Amino acid sequence: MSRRMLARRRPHASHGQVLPARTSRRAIVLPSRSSRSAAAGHRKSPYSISTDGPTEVQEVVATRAVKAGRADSESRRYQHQTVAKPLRRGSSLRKSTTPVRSRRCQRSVRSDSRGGRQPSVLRVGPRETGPSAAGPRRRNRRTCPVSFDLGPVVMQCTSPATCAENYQAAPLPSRSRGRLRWCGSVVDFAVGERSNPGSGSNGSSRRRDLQERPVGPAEGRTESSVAGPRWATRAQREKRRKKRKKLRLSRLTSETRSANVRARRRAPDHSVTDLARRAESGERAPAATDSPARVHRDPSARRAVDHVVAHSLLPLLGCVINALFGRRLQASGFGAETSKKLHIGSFGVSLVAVGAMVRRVRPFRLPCPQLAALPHEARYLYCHAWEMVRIGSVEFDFELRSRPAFVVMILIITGVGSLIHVYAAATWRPKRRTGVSSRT
Amino acid sequence: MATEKAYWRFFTYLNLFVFSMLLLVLATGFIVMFFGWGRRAL
Repeated sequence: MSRRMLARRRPHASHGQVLPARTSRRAIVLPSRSSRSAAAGHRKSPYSISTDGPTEVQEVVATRAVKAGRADSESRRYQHQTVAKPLRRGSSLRKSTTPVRSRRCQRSVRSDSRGGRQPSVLRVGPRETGPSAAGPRRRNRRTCPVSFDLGPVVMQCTSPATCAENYQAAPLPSRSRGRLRWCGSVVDFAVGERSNPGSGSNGSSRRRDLQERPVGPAEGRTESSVAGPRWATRAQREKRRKKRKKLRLSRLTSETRSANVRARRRAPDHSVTDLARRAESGERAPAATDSPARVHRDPSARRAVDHVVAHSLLPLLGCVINALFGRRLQASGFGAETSKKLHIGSFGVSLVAVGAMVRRVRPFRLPCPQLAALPHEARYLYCHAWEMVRIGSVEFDFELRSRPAFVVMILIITGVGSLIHVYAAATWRPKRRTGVSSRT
Repeated sequence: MATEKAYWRFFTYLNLFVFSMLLLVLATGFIVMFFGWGRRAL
């Protein structure tokens, strides 16, 4: 179904009339952007758009809200146009035709329906993987989306865990502009400027295009942001791409380019630091100056990640040392002591990590109440070691994560392990120290 | 156990076990968790 065909099908959408009452059929849409470019910077393409529309599953190319009523902000009679094209076959959307909503989400949507008309819902958030996405999945936790109410279009995150909280700060004072942040990128939304209020009274009113433009320092940009928003028209996207290319070439020195690459390779662990910083400064809405590169440069995040890595790496180090030099070390009488120290060191690292968790990742700067003020989903240390497998949109990364509940288990493991070390070393009575060959 | 000669082997396996247990606990995905599980059972 091409765009023209769709316009023929729904002629009212282009004539500026109020759309009839919409059915409850819902279509969830994924962008057709290649997952390769979207995956740059360890980031899924963030758009998972679902519309309460009368049409079947389709890809929303552009969504336009046309103000039709009076000029005051009380009037919320918007006309809604959806330029859509059919979904590509074989895309990973197939799995996610049933959007998952939390109860809070549904309530917030319902409260926005006015005049007996269900508002169309434009959902922006992580790509959903099916009904099981309601649980604490990694993809949901990575994002920090905020929902927006732009007239008839309610933008909300698809992450049920964070949606309920973020929606509190979501309604904008002015319906014309908004700032959205998810997957570490800051996006400005502008429901275009009303240039001439007097002329916008009838069907010839100016369109208020829903535009999106990523902001932030140049090093925070990735290829996915260069590719342009999903609901811009093709000409707009082309224009923007040229503009950005020009801008990038002029701005991007070799230094920032390498920083860009580094930021892309690094894990988006902003859930640790960004939320902590937000809780520290007391702000609820996302800050405009946040960029993934800046977040990752936060040393406290690195420190937290180091704890997580050291948990698992110290026993591995002990294992490797024992396997390689154990025989010789045992013969020299030095090996048991080293192994013991390594493992007790691991236990000590666990204690330090517990302390870091309790003191809110930044050990000496954040008090406990602000730690408790963080959402439940943000109370964890996250370490993205490396990317293992990436098949299309499916990815398997080597990631470690420690939560307060996990830390209890870590303490048990390392504590019991160190006890075993102590007792085993105590029972060892080296009788002969003659040499390697005689011992084994 | 006191008469055992190759203590280093015991400590090697013990450390490997602890490492894989930690991996099992800290893993985010099923693949890493499976690594931890498989090595733990070694």
